[in-house]
Amino acid sequence: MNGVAAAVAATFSLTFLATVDGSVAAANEATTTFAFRGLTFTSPARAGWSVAERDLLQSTLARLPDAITDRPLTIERDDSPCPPDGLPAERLLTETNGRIHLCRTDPSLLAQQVTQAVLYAVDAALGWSERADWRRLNGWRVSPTNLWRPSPDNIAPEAFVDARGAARSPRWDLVTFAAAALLDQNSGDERIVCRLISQAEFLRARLDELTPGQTSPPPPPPPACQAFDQWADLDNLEDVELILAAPSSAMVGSLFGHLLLRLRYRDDRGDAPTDLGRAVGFLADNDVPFQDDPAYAFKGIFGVYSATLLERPFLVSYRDYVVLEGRDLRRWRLNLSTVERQRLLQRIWTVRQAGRYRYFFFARNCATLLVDLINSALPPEEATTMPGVLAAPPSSILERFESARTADGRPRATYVPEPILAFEHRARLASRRRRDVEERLIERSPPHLTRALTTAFSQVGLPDASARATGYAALAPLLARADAGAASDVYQFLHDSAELESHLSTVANLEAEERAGTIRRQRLKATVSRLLATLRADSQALAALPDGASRECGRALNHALAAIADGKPALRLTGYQDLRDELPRLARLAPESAARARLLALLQSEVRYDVARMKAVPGLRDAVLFVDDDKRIDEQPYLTAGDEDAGPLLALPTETRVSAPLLALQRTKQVAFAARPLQTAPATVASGGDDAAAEPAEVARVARAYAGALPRSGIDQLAVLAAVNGRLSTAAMTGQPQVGLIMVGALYDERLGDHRRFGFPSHTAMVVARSAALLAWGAGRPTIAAYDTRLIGYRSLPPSLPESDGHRFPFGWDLALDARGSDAQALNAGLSAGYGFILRLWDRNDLADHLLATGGLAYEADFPSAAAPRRDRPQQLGVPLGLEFRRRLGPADSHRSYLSTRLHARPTWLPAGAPVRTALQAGAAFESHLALRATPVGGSHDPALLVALGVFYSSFTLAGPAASTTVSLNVGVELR
Amino acid sequence: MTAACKPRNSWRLTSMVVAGVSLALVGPGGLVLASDGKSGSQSNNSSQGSGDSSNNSNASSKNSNDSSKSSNNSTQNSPKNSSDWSTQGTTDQTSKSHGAHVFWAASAVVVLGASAVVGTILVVRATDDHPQQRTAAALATFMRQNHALLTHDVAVAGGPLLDAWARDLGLSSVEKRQIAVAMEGSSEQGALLAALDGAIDERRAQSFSIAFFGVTARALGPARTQGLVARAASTTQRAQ
Repeated sequence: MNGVAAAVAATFSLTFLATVDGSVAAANEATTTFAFRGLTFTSPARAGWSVAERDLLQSTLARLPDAITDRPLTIERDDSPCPPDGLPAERLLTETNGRIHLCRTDPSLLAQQVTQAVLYAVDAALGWSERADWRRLNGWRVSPTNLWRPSPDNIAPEAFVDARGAARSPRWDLVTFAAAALLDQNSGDERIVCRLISQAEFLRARLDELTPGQTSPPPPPPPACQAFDQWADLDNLEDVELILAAPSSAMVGSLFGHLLLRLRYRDDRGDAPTDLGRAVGFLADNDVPFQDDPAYAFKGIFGVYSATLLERPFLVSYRDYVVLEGRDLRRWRLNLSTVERQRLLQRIWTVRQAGRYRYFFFARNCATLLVDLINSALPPEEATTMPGVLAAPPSSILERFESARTADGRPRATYVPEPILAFEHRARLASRRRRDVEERLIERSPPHLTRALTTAFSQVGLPDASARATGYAALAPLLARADAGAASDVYQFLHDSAELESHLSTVANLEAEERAGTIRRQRLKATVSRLLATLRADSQALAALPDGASRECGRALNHALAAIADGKPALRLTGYQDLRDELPRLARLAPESAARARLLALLQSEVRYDVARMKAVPGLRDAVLFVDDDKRIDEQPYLTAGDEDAGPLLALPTETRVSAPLLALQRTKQVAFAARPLQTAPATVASGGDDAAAEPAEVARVARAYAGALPRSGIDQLAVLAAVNGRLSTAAMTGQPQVGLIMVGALYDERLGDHRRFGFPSHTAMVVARSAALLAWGAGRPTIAAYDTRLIGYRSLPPSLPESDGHRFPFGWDLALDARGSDAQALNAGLSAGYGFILRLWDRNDLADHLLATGGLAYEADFPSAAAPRRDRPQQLGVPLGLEFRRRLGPADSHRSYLSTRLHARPTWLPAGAPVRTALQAGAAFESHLALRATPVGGSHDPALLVALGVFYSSFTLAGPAASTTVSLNVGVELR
Repeated sequence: MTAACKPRNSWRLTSMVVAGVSLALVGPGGLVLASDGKSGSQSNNSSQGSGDSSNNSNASSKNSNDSSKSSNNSTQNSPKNSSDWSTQGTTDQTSKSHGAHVFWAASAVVVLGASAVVGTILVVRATDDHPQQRTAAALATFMRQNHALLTHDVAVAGGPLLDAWARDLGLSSVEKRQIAVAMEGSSEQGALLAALDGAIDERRAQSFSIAFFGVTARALGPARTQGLVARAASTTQRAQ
């Protein structure tokens, strides 16, 4: 049973138990005054209250709780007209002496207006709508864009009982809801309290507060919201998890990862298997798939999209992320009390059917909306705050949950050291493990098999699918021999190979589908063009006929075709509707043209993604596209109109092949299993499914790695460093060393090799607005002697599978947009943009230790300061090259201390604005980052001692023709 | 050949694939199971071509896309009334029934496999003349939609989908393990993969079911398998 229903049922029960003790002044005539419980009704003498009105009000108000109607209030019927929205004006509605003024309204709305006015007065006195827990439900916030008046984040009309109330204030939101809930005549799940169940829960709690220790007879058992109870299934809810889908560079929208909730349910045995869970998350509502909408990033950033809550089986999310997209799912268990858990389910239920929010990629995204959702189920004082000044990426939000505390002092979220590894990740692990097994198999096999095994193993490790298939076939007779290595190794090899090949088989299918999808859309567009041309000719032919009907039909068809072909969705929709109106006549006059027109509408709606728009117009698709109601759309007779056969175009390409290497492997397995007793051989199965009991040692390892990682994401970084800089001539230091303070800050800063509890994986680096400014004493005051800013930077060096096609070019990539300036170099600003590659020369432990080579192309525009001898603005085109080394320090699985070194050089061509045509910049930088805390605190900054030593040479600066070499030593503390 | 069995609740016998030696009446729907192994001696009237399969088998998102709802779901012109052609539960990706489509698929696999291998008589609604064809078509749709996951689980003889199926069929963890051991490196595993290789229609769904049923029967024995089939048939019938 849910508490909401209980509350409202209690309220309704009071309705029928209440004694109407109002004293009616006169029974059969209009009166100026009457009372009902604590309420006094007055009216100007000329208007009065009729008997019918008195009866209506009494019967209506009797349905409100006594605690409401017992309050001493005077309701005065004014003769003034209502404002345009029909509700009484707030400034006139109540007076400080408890007098309520009504406006002139339709008699049928009188009872509703009185009820709302009474509730309004009650709320004005008690301040329910001022409470944070009410305002969170529909996201009421005060914002400058609304002139510092509250406005709701939730823009779904269904979230409000009365749109007029929604437009006014949180109080009217509450008043209209409470009136509707308390006067609701529906039953069961149709009641408003079963739809807006969170609001109902809030109201119930407030009403309970009004009547503590109520002694009236207990109400009858309330009718429950059965649909909610069945859906929530709270008795079998094991727990709620926050799931972070790893960031992916496959699409811009996936760069920061995705956050969703997972509701884990128990089965009859008490297990909580993957397939019983549900995934709940916010997604943007886009009518055109992102890949077909060039403006989608713009739309996402500037709030063109709305977002709604989507619920689906967790296994579907698993399939999408883990299987198809190759993204690990990391898990945090939300620590919720029983009540909080119930409230969260109520919130999900409510928002799922009555929630829509404007979507902003950086500031209000899947993660922030989820935080709002969770917060609205928690006591206001335990709400989780948002990270970041300008943005709140999903991974950074998670750290707030770990640092937040529940009422009993536990972290709000606890890491579950059993991540769900992507199939791609599992394939990489299997590939690595397989190589070790191959060595053992060769070692433990007779010498005369060595060569054949070596050759076959090398073949199965190649990116070429046919070579791998050949390799597996060659292994069949070898692995079937009893003396070919240990049975457990053979089993392990075959099992790992299956893990690997099943993934590669899926990748091949996805690639094939993508290719076929592109071809399909090209064919669709071509067919639409042909149909348009033919139909235009048809319309002209019709218009040229002598009879009036044909002429008119031809003109109408032509008009509809022009609209359907238009780029504006609204105009196309008009075209479909025009076509619908014309089709009956067209079918009589020119049946073939009518069939072509239907086909055009069908295919154009597919090409232009108009289906949802068409569905929004009742009957439109039925009239235009379904000639035969009993047939599916791909069986409609017009699909073969004219020379077209459009049926195949309707089907999305689906590639369901099993790759040749996997089939070859299977044959080898069958031979080996038939020849040797492999069935009982133990195998190490890659972790990755929370159904599979993870090995305790692996769980412990993952937990240690989590504990030893940097305890937060790269958001809001800070460092303060003491700096000593010196400039060198050819032989010695020139001038006095420059002493200063370097202030470093970043909105976001993560580097390759960082192992963090939250944030990007170690193979991805992201920088947003990282700035280092050297403050030095000059001209009698502190000045910014130099600055170096990375406006935005992104580096990605994803691990690759040696057996995959992608491994042929195992490069990562690097993108940066920088600005720098230096008094010493007479440079006001140097703006540069660069793009390059990253090559992994050596690495260990997911890039925790690595040696990388980098290269690329960079453009720089320089703006000289007043100290520069020339006023030219050099343009530089350079080829930055570098070597990067990083080495972790400290115990195993600790990633908070490390050393790094970078050697770099940039030969530069200066086509204009400089006295030289070529130049060279080169340098070396060494950094040590030493964690200062023995144990990190989850979600909190992790202080470290930073020592940085650098030398930088430039053959050309704006300060003069001489080459410049600068040596710097910086020591300080960073907060990571 | 027919089986004279008057089903309860006005269900009527409309389809019999192959007659077995023994018959068992199972469930309130009046399912009749022929349960003596006459492996491979069946006719197959469930594969009537792929014309009845969905034109948007890929209607579920192939790309989670993180911030998108429509994502890659570009086949929009779905059939006017999907319930006319799709078994309920197999295409409802927003099902609230905790993965009902997965459960249904497990039962469908076993029932189809049993019907082909040992013979099953299905009792269905009076309005439904081709229950097994519908089941096979819906299973084919499921196999297409979950091809990647299914291929993986078959190839490694385990995984979330097979785990879900095992639970739906009421298998203990020991029995699940027995099936996995029996499947690994077996000819049935090869047949399962072969059924997944190519355009998946009702015929392939049937082939898949036969192989799955075969390895299950080999791993668990005939008596236990008979019980599984009864349970699965009941589930499948409810779904229809």
